[in-house]
Amino acid sequence: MAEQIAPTRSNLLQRRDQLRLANRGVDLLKRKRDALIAEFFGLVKDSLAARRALADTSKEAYFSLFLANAWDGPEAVESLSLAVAGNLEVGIEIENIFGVKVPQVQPPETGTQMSFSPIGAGPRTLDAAHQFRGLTEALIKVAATETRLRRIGEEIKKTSRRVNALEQVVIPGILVQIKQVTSVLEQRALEEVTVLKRIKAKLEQREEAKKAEDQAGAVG
Amino acid sequence: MPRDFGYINARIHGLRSRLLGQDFYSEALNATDFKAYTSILAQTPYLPEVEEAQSRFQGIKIVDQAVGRNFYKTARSILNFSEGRAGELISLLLLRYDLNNIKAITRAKHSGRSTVDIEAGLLPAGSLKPAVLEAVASAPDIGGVAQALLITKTPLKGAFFAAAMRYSSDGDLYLLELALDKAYFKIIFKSLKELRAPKRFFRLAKREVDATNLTTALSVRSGSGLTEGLFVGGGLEIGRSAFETLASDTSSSAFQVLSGTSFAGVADAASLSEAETLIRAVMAGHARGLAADALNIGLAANYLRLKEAEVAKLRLLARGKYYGVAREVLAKELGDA
Repeated sequence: MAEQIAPTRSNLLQRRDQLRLANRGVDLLKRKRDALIAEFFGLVKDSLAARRALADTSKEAYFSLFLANAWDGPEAVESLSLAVAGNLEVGIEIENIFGVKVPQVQPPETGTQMSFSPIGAGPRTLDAAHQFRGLTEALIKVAATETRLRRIGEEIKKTSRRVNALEQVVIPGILVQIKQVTSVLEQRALEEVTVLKRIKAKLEQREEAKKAEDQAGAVG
Repeated sequence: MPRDFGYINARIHGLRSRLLGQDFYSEALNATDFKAYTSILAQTPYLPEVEEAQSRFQGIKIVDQAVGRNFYKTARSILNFSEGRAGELISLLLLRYDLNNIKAITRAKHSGRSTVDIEAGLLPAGSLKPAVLEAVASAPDIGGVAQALLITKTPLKGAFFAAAMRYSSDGDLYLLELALDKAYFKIIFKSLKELRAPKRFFRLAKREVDATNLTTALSVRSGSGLTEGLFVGGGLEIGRSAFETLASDTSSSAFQVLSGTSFAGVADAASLSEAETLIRAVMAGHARGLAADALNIGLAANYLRLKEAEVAKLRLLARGKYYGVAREVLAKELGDA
């Protein structure tokens, strides 16, 4: 139910301004939502491709690890994994898409220089290491696209909620208020006209009575 | 009295008769699942190790531990019944395991890993026994590892000490490992000369260098292309220029340098793994050729190669059955098993 306001002309003008602003807001939010939806569908395609690439890469990577563990031995695989120190560093930049802050994830710089000597290293283990580097990149790509997708999806939901709130609640509320104030003001104006008409009639009556008195005096 | 190759090779013949035959692989390939596979494996000479591993581990680790333990016991047994010159030659065959174990410890120290992490990277099939490796692994840093190795009998200790001194100033693991790899091959050839190893065995060692150089060249081929210092001298068929060509030229024409060598077939390999299988097959063929000499090291060299291949095939089958890999895929990977 719309909030009750004093039925004054200034309130009516204020509500009309608010209505104009709300309509402009709805228009802007709808345009933002449309742009975000377009971006979202573009990303869905990327995300599906990234997921597919991840599935393929992980299948290959795990099969190569399977073969490395079998042919080179789990000890050789573990030994080479010991040479890798620290964690992978992922670069993250914040990008602004229609006011939505989404992370832009850069794949880690793995480099091609080995930290260990390849002499005597099991080729299958080296192959598995290479495949897992690819898997890491695929995983980061999926994480990046899906994070963007989620952020944009959330923003679309938020924008739709705002549009709905404006269209279903705020604007109808303002319209009701405008209608109420207008009807009260019109009623008041009508009342004023009636009062003025009555006053006018009374004044005319009084004037006519006075004229009649003056004419009677003159005859007498 | 030092035991000669007659006695040693008789023992190795005995060990060889315990290698798993085609019947086992056919039965294992037909196993319905991992449980069925371990049951089949438990009907072979691997029974004690499988039973022990089943009481301590689960899943793939049962087979990994069982075959690893069996290989360790086999290598230790060969070292125990070999003495004198024959024993020294057999120690040289197993020196690669010492090198790998030292590398695993060094890598862990370089990256600051714990002693528990190191354990999984060790296979004590060389002359360095598990207790010694444990002591070396517990050293606080690479300098400490070098100090701990100095009191062992490994021929790699001198080279490692020198490399560790250099590492203390530059902190470069790659250079340390490279120095150790080069030292390993130098030690092998020096020892073979001192032990007056048979010419055919010398040639096998040289081919081993070729196989190593070829594998290294193919490994770095798709990577950085940095080949400096990676070539190991002393090979028979693959010289420095062939190595450089293979390592730096990614076109298929680079494989022309292999024509006329034992490794010519590698040119047709579709992947690094396939190339490695071919190289392994070539080396197995050369080792088989040496096995005919009943009074020399050839039989032991061939047996160890066969045993390593058997262990690898058992691990492959275990993984295949555990993850439900199709029979055809496993059969293809097993090759001529």
